[in-house]
Amino acid sequence: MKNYFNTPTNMSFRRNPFKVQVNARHKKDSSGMTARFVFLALLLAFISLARAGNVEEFTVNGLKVILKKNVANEVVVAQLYIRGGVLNLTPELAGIEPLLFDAAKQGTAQYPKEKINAELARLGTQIGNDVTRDYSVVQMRCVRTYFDLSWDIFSEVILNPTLDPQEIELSREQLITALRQRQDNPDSYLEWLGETQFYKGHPYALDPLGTEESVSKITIAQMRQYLKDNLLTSKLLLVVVGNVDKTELQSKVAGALGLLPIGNYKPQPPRMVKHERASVYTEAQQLPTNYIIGYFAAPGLRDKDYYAMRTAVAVLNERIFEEVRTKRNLSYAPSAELEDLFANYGKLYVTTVVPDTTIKVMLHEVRRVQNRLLQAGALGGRINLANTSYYLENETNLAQATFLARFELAGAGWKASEKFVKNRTKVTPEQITEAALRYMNNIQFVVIGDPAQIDEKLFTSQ
Amino acid sequence: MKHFRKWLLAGLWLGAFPAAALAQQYNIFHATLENGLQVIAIENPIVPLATIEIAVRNGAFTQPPEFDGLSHLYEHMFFKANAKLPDQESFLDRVGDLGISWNGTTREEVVNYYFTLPKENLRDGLQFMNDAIRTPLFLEEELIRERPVVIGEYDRQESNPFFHLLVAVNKKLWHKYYSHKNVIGDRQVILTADREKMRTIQQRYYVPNNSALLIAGDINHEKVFKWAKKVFSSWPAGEDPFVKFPAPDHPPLKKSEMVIVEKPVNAVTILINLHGPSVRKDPEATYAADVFSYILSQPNSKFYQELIDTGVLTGVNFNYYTLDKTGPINLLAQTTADKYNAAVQAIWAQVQKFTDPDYYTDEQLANSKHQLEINEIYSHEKPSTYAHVVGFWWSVASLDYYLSYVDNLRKVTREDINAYVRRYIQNAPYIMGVMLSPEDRRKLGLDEGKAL
Repeated sequence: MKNYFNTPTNMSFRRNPFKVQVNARHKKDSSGMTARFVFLALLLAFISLARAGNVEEFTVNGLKVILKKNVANEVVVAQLYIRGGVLNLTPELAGIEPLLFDAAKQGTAQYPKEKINAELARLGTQIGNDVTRDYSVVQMRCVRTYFDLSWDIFSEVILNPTLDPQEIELSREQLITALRQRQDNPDSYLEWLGETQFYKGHPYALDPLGTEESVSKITIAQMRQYLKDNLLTSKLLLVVVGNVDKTELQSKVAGALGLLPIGNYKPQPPRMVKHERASVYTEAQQLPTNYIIGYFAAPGLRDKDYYAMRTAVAVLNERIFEEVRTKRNLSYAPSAELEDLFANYGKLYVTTVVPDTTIKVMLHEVRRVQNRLLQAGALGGRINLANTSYYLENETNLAQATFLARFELAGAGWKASEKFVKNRTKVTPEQITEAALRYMNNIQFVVIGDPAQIDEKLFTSQ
Repeated sequence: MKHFRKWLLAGLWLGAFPAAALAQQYNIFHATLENGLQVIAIENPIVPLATIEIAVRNGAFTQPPEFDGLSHLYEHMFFKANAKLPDQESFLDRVGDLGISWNGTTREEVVNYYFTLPKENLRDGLQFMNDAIRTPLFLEEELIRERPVVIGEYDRQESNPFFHLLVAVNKKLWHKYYSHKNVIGDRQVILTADREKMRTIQQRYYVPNNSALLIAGDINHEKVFKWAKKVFSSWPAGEDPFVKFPAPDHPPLKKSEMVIVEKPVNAVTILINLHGPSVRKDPEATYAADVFSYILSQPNSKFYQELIDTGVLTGVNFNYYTLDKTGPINLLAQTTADKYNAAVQAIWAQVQKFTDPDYYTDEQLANSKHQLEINEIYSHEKPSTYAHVVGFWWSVASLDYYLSYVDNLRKVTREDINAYVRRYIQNAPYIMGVMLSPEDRRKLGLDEGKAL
């Protein structure tokens, strides 16, 4: 999609760019690569997500391939991950991946611009790219009937992009506009400010989308060098989900991505973020409400406390909803979430016209999760809900591919994804309180709104 | 042809099954209870979940000014006390017991409520849905406490600059009956809403003959129909709300107008809205509208090449939003202040060329239809949200419209598209909204009276 256009709301409903709807509950977009992993299950602990297919792995010239055969629908998804994320970048190169891969989709040696656009339109195939602090990914979604041709275009975009200077300038201008516009929406700006504060002094302080300054100066030579340095099979991971046979895929990979040099990449996981004290940063804006987010360091997928922490945050989320919204009606949108980054964080989020009162309640609930053991019945209910969320967020082939990839890229191995339900189910009330005590502290708050309404002492009183 | 088989259970079903390829392809089954409740089952066993949704023909289009925003407030009250559960805390406890992920949405012409839960809990979930939809208590204290929550949602919308552009344009676009398009509503109406108004909405619209029950996921349609009959048959039918309280038709625009919204934003946004077809009055035009929108969105289209590839715009989107009471056509574009004048000229130059014989090729026309078909495949991949898609179309148009949608797209010709463009776009008045920073406005000397 050569279009960074920010519309006021997402376009999930066909033919309605504004999606004029309001919800009973605040829902964040959980589509695609940014899907939150709110998981697990007791009731269905022994039913694998792979019920509609089987997962296997193989290697082609050093390129690890994970294939999940899914015969339940007509969709095929292929994702090529480049490991390293922002650790591959310098401040001057921040933003190179979105710029490079957006321009790459505009034409290749075999498929000049007119031809690639005509073919993608004819096939109904979508090729996209995304970046996170952990990795970048080029992905393709098509229907099974057109997999052969779609694969050909997908691999061409990665291996032989033309990188036409004119196209790069268009992509550059669009990306810069998107970066500027990030400040126009309080939610996206809050998240950007929050991550900036949280990762200060950490390698993840680099924003994978870059800055206006970095994006405006990236050259074609730097893009070519990036491809040379990073398209090494030891640094890549290919995940395919759909009705595709192993032999068919092996042959396709061998004829394209498998021809890349192997290299000698060794993953270097980033260290966990550590803050010695709580903080609050307020940006004054005249808005009808205050936007508040608070970050705390958290274990990632490969850490032993991960499953306990996920349950602790889920319990906190429920209690915050009940205490802040249901009982006290202080906000429409209070929540607690755990991300799935390698240098991971959890976060508190709320919009409210009474920030001090609301944060007092939220911090009280943090202390409750830290100090009171969950009763067996409550834990069972929480696991029921987590089970539903887990399946809900893994309904599509794209989501399932991402799920497998995240375990693999995190160093836990994709097979750990199959034990996810079991591991969540084994979490005890004691482990939940321990995880909450260990990680839910030194919260780094960011507020966009009225500074006069913010009692800094209260925010940092954890 | 199992999908179109009439469902015969001692004569209790009055089902009619539209013969459409989509129903076969996606395992969609349909029946109607004697009380008029439509039951739509969608089998897709990709994960062991079931989604239960009730869609009601309610929403902004039913709102006179004194009810402006109350379809949405009502939607919030659904998740509170009912005859079986004394308060919202009990409601949420039951949600936990059944492993339910829940939400509801209010739009212009539909309100929906949905639970997704483990498939083993489907029967209990149906009963839970039945209690909530039929027996809400609208407790005074819960209503008073929910108002600030809804206002909190309002505050969030008002914090987004795009919301102000949309409101400014819509107030002119739907000049006579704005409340009938205003989903979020009016603050004062929300803050003073009482139980009586909630009961009025319930009695008028929350009747089985104005509702559809959708069940999607790892389900068996025969069992679903049996259980639905058992649980929902005792819901008494009511009067057709649209006979006694017809939603108004929006009068056409008399002239084109411009509105400027100043906000501290970092780009210039242009929103041009027109009155498009009403799906029940001119369904053929809606198919042409969708095909045409997809032609324009293709990167090889002249529209895209002239507006994006030249760099005059950084983003553009052209859409028709299908509704019964006049669906809007909108062109949303983004540019910078220094390119604004060129951008506006380029946009209108493109609009004038829409009906030129060489504006798009036969291949682009065919590809557009094909892409819309493939979008249906992608849409079906996720059963929990697919239920919302089907529920939306049931309410706004009809299930038959949706099930025959792809077949009708295939029939769209160049002449159909030209007729749609000439009637609804080229020869029609429009509302043009521009949102920009005060500095950019000064730089451009933009004036509402002179700019058109």
